[in-house]
Amino acid sequence: MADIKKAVARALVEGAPSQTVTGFGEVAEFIHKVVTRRQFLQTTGAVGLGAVTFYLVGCGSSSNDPQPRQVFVANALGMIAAEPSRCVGCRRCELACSEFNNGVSQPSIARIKVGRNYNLGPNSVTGFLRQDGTWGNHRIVQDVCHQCPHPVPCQLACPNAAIDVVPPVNARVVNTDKCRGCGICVKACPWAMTSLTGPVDGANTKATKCFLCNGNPECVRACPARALTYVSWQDMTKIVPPRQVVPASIQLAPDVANTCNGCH
Amino acid sequence: MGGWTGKVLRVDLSTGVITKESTDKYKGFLGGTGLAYKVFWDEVPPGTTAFDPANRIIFGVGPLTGTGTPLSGRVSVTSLFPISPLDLPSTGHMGGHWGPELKFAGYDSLIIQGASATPVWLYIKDDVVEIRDASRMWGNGIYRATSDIMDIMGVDAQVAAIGQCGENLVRSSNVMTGRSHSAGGVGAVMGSKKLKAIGVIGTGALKIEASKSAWKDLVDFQRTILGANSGGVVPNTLQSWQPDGLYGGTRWTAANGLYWGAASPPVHTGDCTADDLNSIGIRTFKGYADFGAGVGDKHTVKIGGCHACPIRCHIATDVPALENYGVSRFQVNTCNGNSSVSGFTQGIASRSEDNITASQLGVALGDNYGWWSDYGLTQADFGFCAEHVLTAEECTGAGIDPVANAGKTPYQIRLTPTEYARVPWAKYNATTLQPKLEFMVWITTEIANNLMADKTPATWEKMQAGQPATLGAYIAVGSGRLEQLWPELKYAHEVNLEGINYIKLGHIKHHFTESAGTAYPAAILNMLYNRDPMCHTHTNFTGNGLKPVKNNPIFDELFGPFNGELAIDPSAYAAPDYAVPPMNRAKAVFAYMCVIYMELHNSLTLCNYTLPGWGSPLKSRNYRGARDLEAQFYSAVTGHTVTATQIEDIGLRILTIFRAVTARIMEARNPGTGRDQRNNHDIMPEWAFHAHSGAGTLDRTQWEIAKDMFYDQCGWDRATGLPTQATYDRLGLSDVAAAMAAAGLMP
Repeated sequence: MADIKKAVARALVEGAPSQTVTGFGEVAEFIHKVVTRRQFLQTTGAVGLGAVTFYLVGCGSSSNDPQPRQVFVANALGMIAAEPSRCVGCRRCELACSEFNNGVSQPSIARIKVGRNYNLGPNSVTGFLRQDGTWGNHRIVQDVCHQCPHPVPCQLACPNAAIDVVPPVNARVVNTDKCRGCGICVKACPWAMTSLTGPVDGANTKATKCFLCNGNPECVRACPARALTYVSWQDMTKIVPPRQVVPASIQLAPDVANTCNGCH
Repeated sequence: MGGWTGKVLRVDLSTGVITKESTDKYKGFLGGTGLAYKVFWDEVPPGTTAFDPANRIIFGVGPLTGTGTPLSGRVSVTSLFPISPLDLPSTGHMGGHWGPELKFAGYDSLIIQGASATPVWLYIKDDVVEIRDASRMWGNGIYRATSDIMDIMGVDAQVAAIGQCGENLVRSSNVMTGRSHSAGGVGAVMGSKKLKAIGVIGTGALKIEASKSAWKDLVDFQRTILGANSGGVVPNTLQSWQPDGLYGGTRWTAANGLYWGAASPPVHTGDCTADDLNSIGIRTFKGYADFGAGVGDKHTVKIGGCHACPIRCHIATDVPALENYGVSRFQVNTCNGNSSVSGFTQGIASRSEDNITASQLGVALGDNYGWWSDYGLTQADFGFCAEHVLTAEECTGAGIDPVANAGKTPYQIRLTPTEYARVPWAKYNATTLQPKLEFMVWITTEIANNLMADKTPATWEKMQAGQPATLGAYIAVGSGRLEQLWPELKYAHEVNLEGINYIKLGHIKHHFTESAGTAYPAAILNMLYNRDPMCHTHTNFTGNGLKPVKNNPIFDELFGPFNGELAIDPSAYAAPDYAVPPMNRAKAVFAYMCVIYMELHNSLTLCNYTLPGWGSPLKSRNYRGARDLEAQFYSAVTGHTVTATQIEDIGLRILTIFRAVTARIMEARNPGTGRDQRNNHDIMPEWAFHAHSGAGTLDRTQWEIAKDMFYDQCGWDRATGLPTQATYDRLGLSDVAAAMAAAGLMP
């Protein structure tokens, strides 16, 4: 066990893809110790049945695909820390993200999301002047990708294995050569942090999700109020409440499900 | 082309027809005010009044809106203005996130025409545009309308709405978006069309023609030369990194030891050095600057503002005492918006807890009712009419009977005894806060109700016919009309009794002869428009903190040479009520460039409350900025490459068609007046030629020279102030020239 820890730690530091430094079985054992099923349910239980169903049913399904993808992946090395009391709501982070990465101004595909929380905060449906947002107490919450630890929902749900873990920072990155724009990752993310550049299954539609700009995030660079910082990764999935219920229709990709059976 | 979406949305509320038209015919006018002036020229018959269904209200955005160009979050809302006694066109300007959202939804501007028979609101979600029933929100304030629309569209909708003031045709009313962003003057136009609100959600993309790396370089360049709100490039407070000791007078007010005290936890503003691009948004500590040490900083949660703007200027406050009055303790607004409604109080010490309580309660009221103060003219008139006891000499000057009227205030003369007795003057005159606030609430509600004395809806026609109105309705009708009924008010406007600062045509001054060292250029700006000019190019440059010793050489380098003539008068910095040096060519070019760049900002759209970028905070650049920022951004976004000189000509095209529209309407309203803009439109009040507090005094001879030199810059005729045939032709406006000639409106 100590050797496995050492191997994974080395992978994190060196930024190498996880499968090149350690075998799947070893890592599965490691992750099983670190993220137990019990912890997992505690985290997602607050979301509702959909999210729970995703993992329980998904892991139990089977697949005919003989080629396992990266299923257990190394943790990311960095993440974006966002401070709502400092956010001034200019949304330059969203603009920098879509413009400097995609060449268009389109906040709806930004990999950091502020606009949706700007008016009333992240948990508002009704109510007014009593909660977050500019119409409330001026607290503006910036939603960022948590670069989830295993199991990574967007990555494991993708039917095209189009989300890879890529050095140097081990971000979970959309491979646009493989992405077909099906939108399953958009529904699979409990924090609703993935987007599509066009209509579902559109000819040129691709998913966008935070890839930490390979370690120099444009959003952090653009923030005029010191509200965003690039820091070492920590597991925020245990802390930040999910934003959406993952529908039961979202299943693990068939090739993943087989692999899950190996260790769960 | 990048930047533009290619479609302009048009909604006819009379017929219910919604059309999406090509943007191509407007691209020569960019967008914003330029597009709107073109619409007025093409479509609106001269003589149309503000509340006529034929009037348009144009929510104008431009090729840069929504592109991420810094300071590009603004919307120009243009219409025939209800406060204008001649129903001339003007523009209110709002920021926030609404304009960019309209672009993301796919529209280069929104033209509203006609009038609905029943209350409606406009639903815009990308391609889907619908006119929907607004009966459930009609009669309610802006907050309720916004809330209802977010319930329907989703919490990420951007909503622009009017309140009861707009509904009840209060001529000084606004449309508001995002809680603190208002376009003044146009609320009642929406009310006359029964249009309560416009909700927008846009998810589309705006193309940027430049490469990603070139675009990033350009955005970064602008970030490096930006200063603070109102153009300040030198901190107001001595900071540890201070360059050359050139501090003073700007809104760059963050400092060590100063906190956004109501943030949770408090946020230290601290040193915001010129090279730290991640603290640009903290530099402007407007809460502290406007409400004072120990009050403003204590109650500031953060400084907000508009989409894509790294410079923040809206003060988000937490004033717990407000909960005693039934409104949220959290408010947000800026500048005049923070003093509009509280302007109906008197005797509250500035920079006190009482002041911020009154101010923010006023914000909660005014921003919900959708009231607009005509940039403070309304309160100035109110203060005069309520408190100024007329002398016999003033009565004679005003042409009213001194025997009957001397010793009375205008309200004592003009309100019916019943109405005067109804006004809770004891509360207005009280020395404690509570009754003052009660008066503020009372009078704001009276204005919003806008009733005649017989409780029927107030109209200008009824007032002209001599029917008595309530105090609120006399305020709601606007200064330019009220002075036609009350000669003593007209007299007060002419001679500036009690410092009302009325200019002409229903509008007040805005950064006039008190603006440091720019008396003649500022006067030119104040003569040109049909409301207060809303121009900040001049004050943002001269007030950037560099002082004339550096700014005059910068202006000479960018726009000269001027052979030693100075655009900015250094003597003004020693004594504001200085003897203004004579007019010269540098001042004429300065005035010209200030108005041209304002029109460009209002059309592209960019923020004229912080630009131009002629100076910079960088010692490494010897504090130089750039003349061609606007040209560079326009070129990079659209792919249509222009130089600074070329885009300045586009600005002149916009200004020139505005001139034609104004002249044509004046001629239609009063034949003979439109053809002489110099003497009928470009006029100064008498008081500008007499010493007035804290400002330069204009000389009559020099003022006429100033007009000559400015018209020369524009290519307009000196005798009439009208554009010449050659100018129309050069600007591609020969068709306008032909129509003007046919109407007898060529010089």
